[in-house]
Amino acid sequence: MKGLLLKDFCISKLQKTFIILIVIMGAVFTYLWKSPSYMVSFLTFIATLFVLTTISYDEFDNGYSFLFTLPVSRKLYVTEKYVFALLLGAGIWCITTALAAVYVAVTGAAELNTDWIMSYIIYLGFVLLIVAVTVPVQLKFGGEKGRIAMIIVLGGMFLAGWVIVKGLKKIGMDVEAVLDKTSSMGIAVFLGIWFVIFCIILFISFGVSVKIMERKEF
Amino acid sequence: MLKMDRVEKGYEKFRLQCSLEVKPGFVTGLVGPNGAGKSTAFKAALGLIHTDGGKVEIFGKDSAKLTNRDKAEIGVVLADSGFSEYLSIKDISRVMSALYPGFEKTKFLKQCEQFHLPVNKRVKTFSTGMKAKLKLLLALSHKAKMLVLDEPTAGLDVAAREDLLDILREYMEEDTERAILISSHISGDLEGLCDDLYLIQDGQIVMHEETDILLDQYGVLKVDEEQFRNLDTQYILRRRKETFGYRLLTDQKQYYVENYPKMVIENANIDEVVLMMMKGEEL
Repeated sequence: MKGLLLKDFCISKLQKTFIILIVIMGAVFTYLWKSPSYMVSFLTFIATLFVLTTISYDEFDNGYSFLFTLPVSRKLYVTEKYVFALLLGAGIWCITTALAAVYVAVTGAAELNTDWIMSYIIYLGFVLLIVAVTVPVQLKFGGEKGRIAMIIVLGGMFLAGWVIVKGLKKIGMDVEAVLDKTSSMGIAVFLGIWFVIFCIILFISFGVSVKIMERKEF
Repeated sequence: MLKMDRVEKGYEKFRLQCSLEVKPGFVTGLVGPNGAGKSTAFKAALGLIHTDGGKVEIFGKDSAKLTNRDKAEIGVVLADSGFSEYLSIKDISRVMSALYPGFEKTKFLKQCEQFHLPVNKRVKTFSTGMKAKLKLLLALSHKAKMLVLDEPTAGLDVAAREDLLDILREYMEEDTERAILISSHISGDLEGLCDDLYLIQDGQIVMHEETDILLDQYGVLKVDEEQFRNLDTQYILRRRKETFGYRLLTDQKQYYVENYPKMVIENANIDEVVLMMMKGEEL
């Protein structure tokens, strides 16, 4: 695992100009919009997308063949991709959220309370949800086809979400009221629910990714 | 060390049906023309493709049950694949240190220096020969029990090839239990290195012989039509029509030397044997 993580960090390092540009953009937008939310959400999102970049690099030039002659099982490879995405995503989220808290405390742009932190936790949740969807798609379809598949899958997700909300409303369930009720449960319950939901989603995504890799031939 | 027992893999226009064994202390060569199934056989041995039948055993274990620790005992060179070329040797050595408990970092970096491989440049900038050297040095760098080398000397000049073959010989001398499975289209590499050879054609193993026997006992007879009519052909493996008559491959050269003293009989080298086995007709 450590070797694979090292490899992926080395590959991510190749994008350092892009990283510097994104960080500058984050700082500039925070200053212009007087809000650090863009910095936190965008940087966390970009950081987790690096996992997709590393998969492309692994696949490039028939690289998988050699990769799986190393002491690396297909399951370990998939595990490392999720760990890498979580490390990078959660790491960047922690740093940017801490910076956002400092910014808010210094400028007084918002009130530092549980609602504030909860909104940032929701960002992280959504970003991890995107990881859970995009990693198996990238593993299944690879670089070129993967991009098209990704657009279809993400578009399909939003469409499915819209249909579900509409459907629930039609059968008389008020989704907004449910969400309001969730946020008034208190931070511990709220976090608990989010944590369980994301664990289930990530677990399913991981299982699908392992199956995809185990079926592949190189 | 490695045993492939009736391993089968079918594609639309190709079918591999292969049995071979690499014994401890042996350097085993796999030869055959392009598209004969060498790389498919290697991939089947390494678990990179799913087989349709048969069994692959490595270190006495079913290959599907190999642990990552077992895999760390195998050094591999693949003809068309390697570490990401966007990494440098420095990056790769850090990754290797973390992946292989037996990785000899100092020795590896010293060998890179010896072969003039820059450690801080991306592998992408290397010449074909430099990439081939790096692949082989990596396979040799972690005290593997067995090497599986698919065309490891491709792209190397004569001097570099000889240097790397010397390293392979040293690798075998360090531990008598080690083994190598190697393919190469350069028969000179195999003649000087291999203890036994498998010839693969159209996905099938058509010959297995110890290299010494092949070089000592195999021969090529050059005969005209009349000589051929009067010849005892029981030890003739293949026949090929030539302008003068026939070129015949035998695995009992001495028999013909003794019984047909006036006949033109030449020693066979690996190229000759491979060519006759592939292009010649069975009697």
